[in-house]
Amino acid sequence: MAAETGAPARRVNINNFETNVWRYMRLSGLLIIPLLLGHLLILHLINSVFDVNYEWVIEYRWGLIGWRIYDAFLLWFAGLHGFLGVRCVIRDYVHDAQVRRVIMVVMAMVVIFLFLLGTVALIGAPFEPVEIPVVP
Amino acid sequence: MTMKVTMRIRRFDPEKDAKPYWAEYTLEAVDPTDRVLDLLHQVRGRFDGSLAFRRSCAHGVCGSDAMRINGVNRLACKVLVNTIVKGDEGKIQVEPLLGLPVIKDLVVDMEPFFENYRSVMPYFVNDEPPPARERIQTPEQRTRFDDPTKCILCAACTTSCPSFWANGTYVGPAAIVQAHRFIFDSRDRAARDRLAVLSQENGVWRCRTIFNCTTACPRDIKVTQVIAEVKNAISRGRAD
Ligand code: FES
Repeated sequence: MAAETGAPARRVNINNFETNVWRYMRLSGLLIIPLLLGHLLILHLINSVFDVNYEWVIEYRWGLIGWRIYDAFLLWFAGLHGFLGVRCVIRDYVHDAQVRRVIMVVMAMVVIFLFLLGTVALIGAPFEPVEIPVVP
Repeated sequence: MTMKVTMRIRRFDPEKDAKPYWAEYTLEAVDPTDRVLDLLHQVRGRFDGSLAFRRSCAHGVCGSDAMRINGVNRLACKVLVNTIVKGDEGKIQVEPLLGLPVIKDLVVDMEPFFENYRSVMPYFVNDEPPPARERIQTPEQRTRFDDPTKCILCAACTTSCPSFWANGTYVGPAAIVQAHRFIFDSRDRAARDRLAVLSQENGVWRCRTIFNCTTACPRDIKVTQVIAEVKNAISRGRAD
């Protein structure tokens, strides 16, 4: 028998940004399916949107640390997944590098602002409903 | 039995026309087992000798006559009229491949396509001194890259890809198929270099798994699967 040629397990270590983005999209995509379904179920199917107000959110959702973690996952995984998805679309259709850069920077700033806002709310919101002072 | 077929052809002559237009030619007595390529020849012979299209082998081997027939990419020499026109009368629509600049009528500029093709090093690389007789490979190792060896570079896959239509800097399915053929060849030594190219911004990640390429391929290569294997090789860090 002739010996086989070739290296059987050929290692190729490629770890660049685009590859990691792809990996992230795959994993976050899988993860946000149950997250979003749960969210939809609780906020839109089990409860009516008319019942969902400040007290309800504090009492039934953010009063429990588990729900805050759930919402944090939703914010970060779905939010970043969406942002990267739009990035994909922009890179497909905006061919002028200059224009593309401007759009990306503006979009990144909006996303960072939204993430900060969401994170502040998740960490800073009280666990008990507080009386909202009525401005006379 | 013959059939009556109207050929609706996208025409464009850069020396005369400001923009492309549709022209119709009715062929009265078409043999149902004629191919679309035969009908193009008939139109050129009977109506307009200036109709431009590429063809060479006329047997599905050279890959010259890929075009959009009834909205899908096909080789004109491989489509029998009776598979797309039912009954004894009908219409066939023919246009140039999408996503590449039209030179004239059905002839497109293939240069952007070949530029992408060249970028993946579509040739055998191995600087090790060759053994006395040959570089041996087992049947299993040969099977690993059998599918992409069938490619004839007709561009039907790449020009059926919406991602390529949107942005022609995407290297495209055909180039990835060609890269796969060498990446998974146990005798080749440049898998890493090719995967480095394909993991860039314009590489495999622009594939959105649309599957147009797979249905367009006249050689029945499982193009989307081939692309997925390259994605996996990059992601898992091993090509075997
Ligand atoms: S003419 Fe050669 S493939 Fe059709």
